[in-house]
Order: sequence, then C-alpha cells, then structure tokens
Amino acid sequence: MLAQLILSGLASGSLYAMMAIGLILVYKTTHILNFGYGDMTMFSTFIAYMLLTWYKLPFAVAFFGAIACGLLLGVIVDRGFLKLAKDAPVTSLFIATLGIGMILEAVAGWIWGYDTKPFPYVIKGPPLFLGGVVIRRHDLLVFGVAGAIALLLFAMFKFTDLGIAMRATAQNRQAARLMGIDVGKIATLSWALGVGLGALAGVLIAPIVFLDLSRMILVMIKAVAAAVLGGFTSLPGAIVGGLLLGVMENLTIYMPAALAPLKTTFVFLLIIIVLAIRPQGLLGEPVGRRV
Amino acid sequence: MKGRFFRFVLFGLFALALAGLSIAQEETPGVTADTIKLGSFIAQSGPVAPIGIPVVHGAQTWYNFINDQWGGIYGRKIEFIALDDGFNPANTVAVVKKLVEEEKVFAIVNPLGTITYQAVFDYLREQGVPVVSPHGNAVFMCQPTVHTAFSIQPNNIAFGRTLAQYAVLRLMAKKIGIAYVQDAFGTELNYYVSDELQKRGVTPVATVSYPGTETSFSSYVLQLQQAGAEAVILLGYLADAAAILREAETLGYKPKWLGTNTITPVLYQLAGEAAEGLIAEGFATDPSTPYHPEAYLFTMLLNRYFPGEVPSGYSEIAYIGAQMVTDALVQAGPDLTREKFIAALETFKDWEHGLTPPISFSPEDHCGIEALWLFELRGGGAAFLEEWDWTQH
Repeated sequence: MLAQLILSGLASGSLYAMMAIGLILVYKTTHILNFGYGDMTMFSTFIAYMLLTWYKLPFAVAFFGAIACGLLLGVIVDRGFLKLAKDAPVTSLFIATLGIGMILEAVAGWIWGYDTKPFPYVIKGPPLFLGGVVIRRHDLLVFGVAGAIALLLFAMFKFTDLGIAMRATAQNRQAARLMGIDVGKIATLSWALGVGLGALAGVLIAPIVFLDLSRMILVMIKAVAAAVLGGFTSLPGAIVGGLLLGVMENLTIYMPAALAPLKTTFVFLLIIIVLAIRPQGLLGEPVGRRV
Repeated sequence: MKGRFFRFVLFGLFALALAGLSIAQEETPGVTADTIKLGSFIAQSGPVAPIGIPVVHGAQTWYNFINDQWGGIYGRKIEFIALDDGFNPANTVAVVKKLVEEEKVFAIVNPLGTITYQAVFDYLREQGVPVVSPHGNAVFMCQPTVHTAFSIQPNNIAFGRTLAQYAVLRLMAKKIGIAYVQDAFGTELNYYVSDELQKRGVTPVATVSYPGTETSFSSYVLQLQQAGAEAVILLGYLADAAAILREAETLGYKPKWLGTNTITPVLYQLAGEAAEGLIAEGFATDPSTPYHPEAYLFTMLLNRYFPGEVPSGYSEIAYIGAQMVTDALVQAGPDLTREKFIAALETFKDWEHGLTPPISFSPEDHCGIEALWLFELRGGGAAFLEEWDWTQH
C-alpha cells in the first residue's frame, strides 16, 4: 500500500511538475507570475481537442497544433497586452494576466461548452506492474517528458547565449539592454516558450484529469505550490517540488479520517514549514535583495 | 316604496359584492382577467447556462402548448417570466424581489439551483409566494414542510437512503465503502447513506472524502481497495466518478459501484469501459425512449417551440414541473387564489403524466418523488433494473 501510494503520488506529482515548468520559465525572465497560465493551458488543450474530435485529425497534428497555439498565445499576450502596459508595476501585470485568462475562459466556454470532455492517452495499453505496484504507461511518459524538459531548459539557461541573455534580462533589465540584449525580444520569447510548454503539459495532463474550463486551473494551483516548494526560480526544483507534493498529498490518507477535510490545507502547511526553514525553497537560488 | 327600498338594498348588496370580488381579484397577485403571471430564477448565462437554458425551454414548451391549445387556463394565458440570475445568489435575491414586488407574479415555478433557492427561501415563505418544482436535491426544499413550497425532484434523503438500502438488501454487500465530495451536496448525501447503513447494522469499511477541487484520486481508491470494500457508493459529480473509476481500473480494483442521479451514460465518454456495471439512480423517463407516447409528445412539442433543441433530462423535468403547475391551476378553478392553488396541489395523489414515478402531496408532505428508478450502465447505455421506494423497505 505504501509503495503504491508513493508511486501514484509520483505520477500525479509529475503532472504538477510538468505544469510548473512553463510558469517558472516566464517568471524567471520577466518576474511576472502568470495568473492566466491555467486558462492559457486549457485553451491550447482545447485546440488539440478540437483538431482531434471535430476535424478527426491524427494525434500528432493535434499535439503540435496545441503547442503552436500556446506559442502564439504567448506572443500575443506579451506583444498584444503586456507591451501596452509596459510601464505598469509588475503586480498590476499579474492582474492583467488574470484578466487575459478570464477572457480565454469565456471564449472557450462559448466555443467548446461547459461540460467535461474526455481526452485520449498519448500511449495506450494495460498498466505496468513493478513488483507489487501498478503504474500507467502514460504516467511514465509524463514523468519522462517533465524530467527531460526541465533538464534541457536547465542546460539552456546555464550554457547557451540565449539562456545567459534570458538570465541577464531577469537579473537587471537596464544593464542587459546596455549590454546589447534585445530585452523585448527575450521577454516575448520567454512568454512564447512558457505558454507553449503549458500547452504541452495540457495535452499530457488532460487524459488524466479530463478537460473543461476549470480543471487546468486546479492543476495550476498545485503547480504553483510545487514551484514554491522547489524554489520558484529553479526548473529542477519544480520537478522535485512537484513530485514531493504529489507524494505528500497521497500520504495524507494516514491522517485521522475526521481531519480529512483539512487534507489540502495540511499540504500547504507543510510547504510553509519548508519555507520557514529554507526561504528559497528546496533548490531555489538564495534570496537576495535587489537594490 | 317598500319595493324601491328593497331594490335599493339589493343594488347596494350587488355593488358591495362586486367591489368585494374586485378586491379579491386584486388581492391575487399576477392574476388578471386574461393572464396568469408566473416567475422564475434560472441561470441563462455563465457556467450553469447549459443546464438553465434547457430548463427554461422545457417549462416554456408546456406553457406555450397550454396557451396555444386551450387559450390558457379558464381564458387566462400563462406568462412565464424566467429571469437570469447567473447562478449567483446575490443576483437571485434581486431578481426574485423584482418578480414578487414589481412584476407581482402569482407563483415562482421551475427555479434552478440549491444555493440560489436557499438565498430567497425565507423571503418567498414570508411573502406567501407559492414555489413549485425547484430544480435541486437539497432536503430544505421540502422538509420541514412549508405551506407554500412543493417539490417534484427527489431529495438527498431519497437518493441517499435508496443507495444504502439497495447495496445492503439487493446486492447483499457486507463490506461497503463510501466516497463523497466535500460540499453541501456530498456531505448531505453521506449523512443519509451512513445513517441508513447504520440502521441496517452495517458500518462502512471505509469512508473517504475529497475536496471539489481534487484532480488526483489514487489515494482514495487505494484506501477503498485496502479496506476490501466490495460495493462503493459514489456521492459526487460525473467527472469525479469517472476519475475514480479509471484509477480503480488501473489498480485492478473491481467493486460494485453505485452512484446518484449525477451519473448518466455520459460517464462512458469519460471513463470508457470502466463505467460498465455501475448502478445509478434516476427519476424520469429517458426522453429518447422508443414507443413511449409521453416521451414522444415532449420531444415533439420541444421541437415545435425550440427547433433543433436536443431533449435532455433538464428540459424534461422542467416540462414535468410545468405540467404540475397547470394541472394545479386547472384544479384550483376559475376564481384563482394562491390558497386555492396550494389546496389543489395538496390533493394530488399518485400524480404523474407518464414520465415520472407517482407523486403524492398532503398538507403535511410537500416532497415529490420518493420511489426512484435504478439503472445499470450496460453496453454504453442504461438498462432499467427496478423501481425502489425507500419508504417501503
């Protein structure tokens, strides 16, 4: 039972991690927490749903269609909305992203309706047995993809010129501009990548949690918690945070039954305790004060 | 002289009677010589609109039919004013005040929602406005009995006790598990399921509850599996049930699943084969049932007034509610008052139009359907098992 709880927890945790990556990518370079992320993910995933069920296109087309939609959405959000309010304080831009999310939600409801929809697994087949525990093939895929993407992005930030430019922009916009970095372009690129990764996450998450207007937001809330736990600026941290959160959630079943309604709160309490001990999260960069 | 005096007195009495009559007429809100005004609060925008719009159309279909076929009731056409509250209780209070105080409706009929109705329940009772056929399962809608409030839909007592009885008495399950959603709906149902099980001397081997925002169900399913539950009662919504069934399928756990009326054959779309064999509750004939004259009439009329609208359980139950309203209006007679309308409803015995189990009211009992229909999901559809009246077991 314990082994199964941990493994199943890792499976849901990889969904949170997957979702957290795009969120962190945008935050890392723009310092904007994208409150509309859940809705952007939902919208892109619905594009895949539409290509699959309305137009009966192959899965691969739907998959890349969703990612293309995510990339485009990212560009539109940055160039179309945030550029207009570039002098606004960052906290106001949080609310702007929330507003964009609400617009997307209304449009999605109008086009695709409000009922919950099924979404196919990327890989089908009976579950796999590892000793006494069971895991879906799809879970392994999500786990692998989340890990691979986090490592790739980690390497990109560390070793490529683009990554260094992104980090420089994040650290000091003014100085980066003086060093000849096109900070506007970097921001747009981050948004496109971030929302595009959200779309990829959506296509992998929807088979497990289904697809409707609100489900991606529920996963996003967990993803934010996972990101905080892992250290908000660290991509490998998102993976560790996501997996840990998934396992912690599952282990709360050992709480007394009478306390069951407090399960979600308990997980957040644990996160606060972690942050009290390690303010930067598990793998985050030490908290420095910007002058 | 004497005769003239008598004529004078007679004329006076006649004038008084007329005045009295017109006062009585004025005292019945929403009723004029040629109309009866009925009001409702039904979400027609926002996330609940996909339920609310069919509800409006279903009720409107029957009122239109009565108006077109018989010119209304005793020469009075029915005017059905369904205002959109967006499923927001704050809006409900505003639209109901408008209906009662400005529009002066005769009654509130076919309103939608539990939280919305709760927000105006006391107000409507204090104003003495009859309410017929609210769409919701909550117990407060008909218990304790309120003189002016009548329900058709079964409540959570019926849904909960029926599931518990069926699991124990028909399925003979010894080890029963419960999974409920932590909201007003799930906790109320869990209360009645657990209470009924306890009455039958059965203690659930596991009761798990999950927040409405849950997206990961493995730990709950594992708990049920570990406890060895051979029958599991699901007290939540369709998507939760689908997620639980799929998780159980992955873990190779195959108990007998039971669910309330939130579960329909749509479950197959989300859960696939894992939905097979689940037993669910219902209380109205599937509108697409072949060789069923009443279902056919409903489908035909809905299509006449709202071409292209696909008949659903939502439009159907609203249509049935409207039938009950007009039957009571007919029985109340041409000199319509709210009291006569209520008295007429209280005489209903085994009332049905072929689409629901029989409904009886009395001055003490304003709850509608008690006997539920049990279905089993089979081969992508729902197969009728039996009618189950929990009050008889």
